[in-house]
Amino acid sequence: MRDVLVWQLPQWIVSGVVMGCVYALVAVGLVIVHNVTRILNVAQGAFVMLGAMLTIQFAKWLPLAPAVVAAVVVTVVIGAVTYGILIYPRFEAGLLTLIMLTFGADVIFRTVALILWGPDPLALREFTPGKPLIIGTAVVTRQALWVIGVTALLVILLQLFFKRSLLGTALRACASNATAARLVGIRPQLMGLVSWMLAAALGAFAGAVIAPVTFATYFMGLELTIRGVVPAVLAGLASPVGAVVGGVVFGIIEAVAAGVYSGLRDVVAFVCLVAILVVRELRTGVLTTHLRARVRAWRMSELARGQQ
Amino acid sequence: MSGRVDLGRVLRADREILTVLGAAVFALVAILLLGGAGAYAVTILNVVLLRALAATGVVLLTGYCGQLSLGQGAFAAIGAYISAILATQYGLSPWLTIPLACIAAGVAAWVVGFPLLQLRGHYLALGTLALAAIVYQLSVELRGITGGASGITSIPSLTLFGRELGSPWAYSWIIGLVFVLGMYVAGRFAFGRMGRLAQAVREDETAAEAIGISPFGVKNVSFVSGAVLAGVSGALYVHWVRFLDPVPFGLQYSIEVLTMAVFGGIGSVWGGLLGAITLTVLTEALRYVTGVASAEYQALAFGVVFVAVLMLWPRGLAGIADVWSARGRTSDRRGGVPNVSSEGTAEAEVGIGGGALIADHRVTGPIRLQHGDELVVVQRLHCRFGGVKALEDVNLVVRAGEILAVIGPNGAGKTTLFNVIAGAIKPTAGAVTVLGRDIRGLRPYEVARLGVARTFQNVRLFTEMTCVENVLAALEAHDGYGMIRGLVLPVRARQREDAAVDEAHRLLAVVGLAEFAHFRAGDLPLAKQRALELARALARRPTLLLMDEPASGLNEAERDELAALIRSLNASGVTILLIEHAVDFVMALADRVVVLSRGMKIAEGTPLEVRNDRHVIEAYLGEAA
Amino acid sequence: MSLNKRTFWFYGLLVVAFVLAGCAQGSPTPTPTAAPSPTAAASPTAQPAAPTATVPSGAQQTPATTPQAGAETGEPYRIGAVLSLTGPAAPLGVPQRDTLELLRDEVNRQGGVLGPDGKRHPLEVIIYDDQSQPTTGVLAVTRLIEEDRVAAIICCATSPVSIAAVDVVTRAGVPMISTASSQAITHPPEERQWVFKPAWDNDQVVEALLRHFKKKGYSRIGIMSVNNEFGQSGKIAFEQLSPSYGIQLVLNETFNLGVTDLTPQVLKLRSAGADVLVLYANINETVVALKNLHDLGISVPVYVTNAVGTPAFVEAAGNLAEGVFVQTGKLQVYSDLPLDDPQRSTILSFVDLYRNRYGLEPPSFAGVAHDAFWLVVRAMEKVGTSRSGIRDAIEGTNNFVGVTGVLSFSPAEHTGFRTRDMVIAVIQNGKFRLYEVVGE
Repeated sequence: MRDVLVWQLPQWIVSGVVMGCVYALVAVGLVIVHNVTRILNVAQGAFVMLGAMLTIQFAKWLPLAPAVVAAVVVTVVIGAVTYGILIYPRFEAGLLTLIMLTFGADVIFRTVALILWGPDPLALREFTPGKPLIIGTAVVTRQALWVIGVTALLVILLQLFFKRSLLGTALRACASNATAARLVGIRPQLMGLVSWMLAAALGAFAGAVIAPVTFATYFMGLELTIRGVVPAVLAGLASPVGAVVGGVVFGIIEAVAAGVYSGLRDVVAFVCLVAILVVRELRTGVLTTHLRARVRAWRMSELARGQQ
Repeated sequence: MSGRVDLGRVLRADREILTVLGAAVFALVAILLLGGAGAYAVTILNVVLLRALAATGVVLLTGYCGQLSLGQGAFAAIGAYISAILATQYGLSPWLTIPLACIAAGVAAWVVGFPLLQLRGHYLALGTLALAAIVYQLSVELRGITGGASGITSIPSLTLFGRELGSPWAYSWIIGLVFVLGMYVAGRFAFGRMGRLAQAVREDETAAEAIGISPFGVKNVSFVSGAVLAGVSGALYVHWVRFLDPVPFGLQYSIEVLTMAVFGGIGSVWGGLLGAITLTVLTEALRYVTGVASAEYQALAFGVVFVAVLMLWPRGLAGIADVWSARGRTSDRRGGVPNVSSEGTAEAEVGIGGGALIADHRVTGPIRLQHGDELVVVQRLHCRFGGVKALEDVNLVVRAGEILAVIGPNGAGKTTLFNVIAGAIKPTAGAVTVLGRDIRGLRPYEVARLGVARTFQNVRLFTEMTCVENVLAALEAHDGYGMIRGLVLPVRARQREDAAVDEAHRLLAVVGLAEFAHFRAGDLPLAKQRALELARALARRPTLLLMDEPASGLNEAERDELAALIRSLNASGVTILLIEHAVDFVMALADRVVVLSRGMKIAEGTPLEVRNDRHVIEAYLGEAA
Repeated sequence: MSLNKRTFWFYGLLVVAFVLAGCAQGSPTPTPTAAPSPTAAASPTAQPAAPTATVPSGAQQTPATTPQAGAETGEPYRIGAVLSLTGPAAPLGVPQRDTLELLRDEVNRQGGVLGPDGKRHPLEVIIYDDQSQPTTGVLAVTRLIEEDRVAAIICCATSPVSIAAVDVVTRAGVPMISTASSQAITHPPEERQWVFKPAWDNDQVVEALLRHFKKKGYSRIGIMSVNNEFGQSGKIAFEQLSPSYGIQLVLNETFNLGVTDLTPQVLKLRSAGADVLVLYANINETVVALKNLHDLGISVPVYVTNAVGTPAFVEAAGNLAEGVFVQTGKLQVYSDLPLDDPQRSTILSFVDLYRNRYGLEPPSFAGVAHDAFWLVVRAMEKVGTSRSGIRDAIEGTNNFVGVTGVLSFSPAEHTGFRTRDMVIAVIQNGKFRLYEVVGE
């Protein structure tokens, strides 16, 4: 048993980190969009799918690097157009409606992908073919390194963007206090557009880099969104860094759980999530207070009835 | 009013009856009409009604109570599996297993609600999503019980007098009946006490707690109601299709049902039915139009139409009616027809309200205390947030029958003090008793039920609800029939609710808002909003009223009226604790004044004493004006 | 809120535009080519009904390729089909739809089905999408029965939807041929009077594999199965049947549909010491597993099922598919079939037809649809559109040479396939090569 863990656990962790990077990028996209527009973008995973599909498509005509760039650019344009048609006109609408609109967008993306590329999975060759590395007892493929590397690079660039650039600061201002931002001349709708384009870019990169590992299918989007939502929400839908860390951790938990018992993979992650959320709330003593309160309320109502 | 009952007027006015009647008429007409049109049409009807049930559950939970849940699929699955397992492995009759399945779904929701409903907003959505995923996985894994991915086959259908009710048409009668029952539940919820409490929780949980509503309790009831409706939908499904596997009740189901509710109008009891009809018929119709060879295009067209409809009508199909109604939505049963006779209503001027209160002892509760008794005792109160000391070693006694003002510069801790007394904040150290009871472990709504009411610095009304509903929420917070009793004894429940409505109108009249009864609270100007907030606070016949800067934003004349109102309230027995910045206003009004600065009490005494206190002048008042 | 007129028109027009586009667009599959080349065998309608095993169907090069002159035209015959064209089961349903349309056009090229009355009846095949969901499937089947008044229904591409439809067709008395694989579709026979399936049961697949493993001397096998009806029934069959073949299951892992990484499960294979790995999954998960195996440097003979016995799998897996064994029917290895194989000419002509029109080799699901189609049409040639007549005719069919196998039905057995027609193929140079016919 211990033997198995020594030999298998590291591999689980590696595989978890790789998937976790994708979840992290999805989560960051979700957090950015939510911060600026308070919308939970159900179509975030679809950006990943589009990035993957488009890269595979362009790679048939172009060398790999330009293909990836082209795929990202096209996805960003799609994201911008979606924002312009669906979100911008209904910026003030209720939250639920907006979420439903992004869900509709996801359905549209999915069916268009089905029409264009068919139901079967598509493959993309590894970025740099070659033998995988052996680190300790774990096998790390070159593409895995690409995934981790690209994720790290994107996160660093993102931080620089937010902290150093004017546009990034404007975004943060908008996230912090939309009214105040408006007062100094920042247009929330425009910032919303920027945040969407940013999220689309992140998703597209994630898709391009993960396609050689997991293959691209037209329905991969929704699952990724769900998995990205978990770390995003755990990070309070507020902190991009928290989302990244959460995403990677979530990927690892998933992989380890799958290793322990494969049926658990989908569930354990969710169970962990619920447990964390609930424990967080419990620390404020709400549940125990409620139970005590039930007793007291019953007693009080007796008294109150006696008084009236 | 004449003694004769005007049936037309009653029907027009009573939305609850309308809901049940409408559902019954729809079901009857649809079944009879479509029955002649063939099995296909009836099958569509069955699918529509089943989905409508679950979608109506979403309307109650998400539309009325504001809790975004993605867990309907889980409860439909529970209902389906319990009914299927009981019928196949234990040989029970479906007539028995279906109700049992509903109960099972309700119990599951009640249990799961304890941890889940602690969460809010996106967290709750995620938690319920997790629930759906877990239930799905369990139904796949627990092969021995659920048949795993291969499912359960040969589930018996309902039989009546030995005849199998298997044909779609026969089954439609059963589904129709259950649908009408479901709409009865929905109507009772939406237009009765629970609906108002749920909406209050949705609008502003803090304010709801302040008027004595237990948010958790209300959420729980809503959650269970939604779950029961989903459960019955699932149970009926299996005895119709007679085969069950995990696939129909995955995440897809929760999203579908939520979509229908949003589409149909999540704020209306009819949203579920409208959404189910539209989406089901739309999908089927698209088959016709786009032709059989392009299923992918059907799906695309569906997505486009869905998005387009949401863009055009963000409030859903039922929301279209809103455009045409002159006034805002009213959700009390009678749709705006008060039952009070025109004589005897307190004539009040437009404005905060006059001195009509003086004689109206119904406003306050029975005075159990003697004037001067200790009402609130605060001892060595410390309140710390992180590194910030909001309150430091504060000692205070509020005596019954007095008007006590708390003043001080910004950041002094005045609102914090209020929050502690109201139970919204737990003190770091020290003791606080209200009416002799230690309140430190109590939730705000429990403190409220003790007889403490409050108004807020930034008016916290239930903006989407009407004025009447705002007051009703307070009146019905603790009194009234619970959901189950309300379903079993509807007549008595309605009587109590009617009485509450009358009382609400009376209270509105007292503060001079009688003619704004059916206006949306959010549409009122500030002065009237404060009056409404006051009426709501008074509804519970409080012994202690905490008012947080009631005069801010009011002009001179309005302040005078407010002062008069406060005095008359006090005269009728309400102890008033008041935070204010308008010093002259306070000095003229208060019996005693307490001055806080930087979390510490720096002075206490009569207005005159305090005004001339050296420390107070330094810290706050500046040189005497 | 006010209804912005411009918004209204924009979105209204958008809706109309899409609906029109959907109408105008025909099948989204690759552009159909011209009529099949004349060297392909004669149109199957020239075959006599229920041929004996030795007569190759292509032998008759009659001028039946040209539309029959002289036969009168009768009322159209209608067949319905409910297939998964969207949703996770689309890879199964889409080739089946393509096959049905292909064969329908072939039949209509002759002027239609030659009914018992001597007239040619144009054939209509009405196909609906069940979106891989039972409820939608039930609705579609009901519609076919009531509104479109079809004589028989081909439904459905997946087992859960097929089983959900059983009640409807039984109640309405309409024969149904399923292209899915679960034995629950046709068992117990007393409750499945109206339901038939040409393809193998999951049990038969596992039996065939176990027979094969025993022959090769494998005693320790590992299986990894997807967590749906298809995978679970395979897993259960392995668990139940392996002991009687003296074979031990040393690894028994499951995973969910669409999983993107199977490293944890694959790792266990190494330490379990298995002789061979069986992957019971769809294309996605199979390719992922193969990739993980490759990356981890684990080499063990891999067997996959017919669910991935398709060119699409080979395309997606690329080099990873080399040397992988596939349990499948003879369709995939058509070029390796011996000349005396009874199914050879039927298979060859189908492959040609399919390839000429769609530019692809037909996957095994297409073959099942082919057999379902011909079972119905042959029955129609005998009895016309009588639903009960068609049912009886199919039930009485013996030694029907199909693409899937040589099918025989009886009142006690509504699954037409016999294990002996199963084949183990191996993928070499991107092609399926015959490795072994399972035989008796």
